[in-house]
Amino acid sequence: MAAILETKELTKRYGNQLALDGLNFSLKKGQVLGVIGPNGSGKTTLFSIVLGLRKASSGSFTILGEDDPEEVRKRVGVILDQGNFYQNISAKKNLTISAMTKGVDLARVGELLEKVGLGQVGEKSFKNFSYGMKKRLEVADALLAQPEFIIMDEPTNGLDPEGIIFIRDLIVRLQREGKTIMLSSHYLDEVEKVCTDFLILKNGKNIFHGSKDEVKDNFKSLESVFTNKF
Amino acid sequence: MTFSQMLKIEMYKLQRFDFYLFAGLYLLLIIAIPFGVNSIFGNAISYTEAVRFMHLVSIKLMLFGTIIATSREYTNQVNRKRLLNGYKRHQLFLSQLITVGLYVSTIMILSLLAIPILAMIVGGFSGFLEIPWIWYAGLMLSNIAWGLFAVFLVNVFKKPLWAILAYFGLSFIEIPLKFVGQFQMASGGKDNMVYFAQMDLFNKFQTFEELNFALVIALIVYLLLYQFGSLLIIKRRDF
Repeated sequence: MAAILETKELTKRYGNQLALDGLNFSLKKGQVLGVIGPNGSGKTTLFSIVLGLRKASSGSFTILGEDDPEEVRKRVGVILDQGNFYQNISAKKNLTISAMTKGVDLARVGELLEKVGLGQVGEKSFKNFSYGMKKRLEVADALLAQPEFIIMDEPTNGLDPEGIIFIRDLIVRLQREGKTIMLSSHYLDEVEKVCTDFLILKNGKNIFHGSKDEVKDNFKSLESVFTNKF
Repeated sequence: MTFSQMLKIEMYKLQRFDFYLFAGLYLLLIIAIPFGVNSIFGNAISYTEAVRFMHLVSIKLMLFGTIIATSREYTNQVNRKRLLNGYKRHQLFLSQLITVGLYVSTIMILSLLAIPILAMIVGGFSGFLEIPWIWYAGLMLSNIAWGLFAVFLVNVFKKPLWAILAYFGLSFIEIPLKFVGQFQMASGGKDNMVYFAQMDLFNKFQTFEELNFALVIALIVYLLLYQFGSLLIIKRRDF
């Protein structure tokens, strides 16, 4: 099966600090990979590099078969921890700008706002949105171009129970549709519910990479991986 | 992404309160102030002075308007979103140039609209016809210069407050250069310092009726250097 994402000795330094240390792993089509690790373990740096927002210090990677993420942007949906939208304009206008950028039919804007439960508040300014609403808008934005690979950086962080269930159901639905997902989270029980595979990072190093079954075979649970390794 | 797509997006983004404020404030200042002064003090401002005042207002609004418009792409992390949505790094730079182009076009259109009104208020309608085309060219060029300079400051500092403080800091640095230049002139020499006081140069390359081509070339060299710097920063920056 072709790799959706593959890294080879991926390394990132910030001055003297090593954020990623020769990272090797691959992600296959249809997998839901949970990237977990303590703060500062390199999760966000890894996401930023494969999305082309930061440059790796050394090593290489391919995403959807390309070594330049700029070439595959429209095939990748991204849900970031914080919504990067214009504060003073409406959710609908923000999403329209994204749709124009991605070259997507503008009819999808209204359709997706309804789908994520923001149909009634689309004209409201983004800055007046609650955290959960901002996250839903981010989801709508990520799904605009019907991407085949979706990257989520702490998608449930700061959400209320309703928001957490919404994201969990979304991940399950996307996986059923055959999408590939890579997500990071601090909530181990949430990650355990939705992920098929795990990549555990510590100080930028890969300390475990394997399937859910391998976690069960080698450790009792995801939590015990943490208690043994950290 | 094609250029026309980018232009369409930038034009769509202009439909917002702060842009209407920018345009409205410009019209208000260039018409209301000469009208008010002349009403109170009895034709104290001549037609040429009103047009020069218009030039002065346009460049200041251009600088601050462009800083606000382009810096919010950094402060709201929208540049990151745009990269994720399909912009290439050089296209982020190109979109900044389009923004400058749209602001300059707005200034030029509003100026053309305001000039006949100003002519009626302070100089009689015939004054409108007396403005040489070279003045319009100069107005456009100096607004382009200030807009591009604002973009450079934003690309270096990202936050609007830092970009504005940098502008005031640079203005302060240019003060002694101007004094040296004036001293040279007073001693019968040439004001060579005008080539080094870049922001002063943005306005000085033109008198009402003619362009100084040596200064225009110096200005273009500076602008090219600033834009090269901007592009380099965007290409290498972590978003």
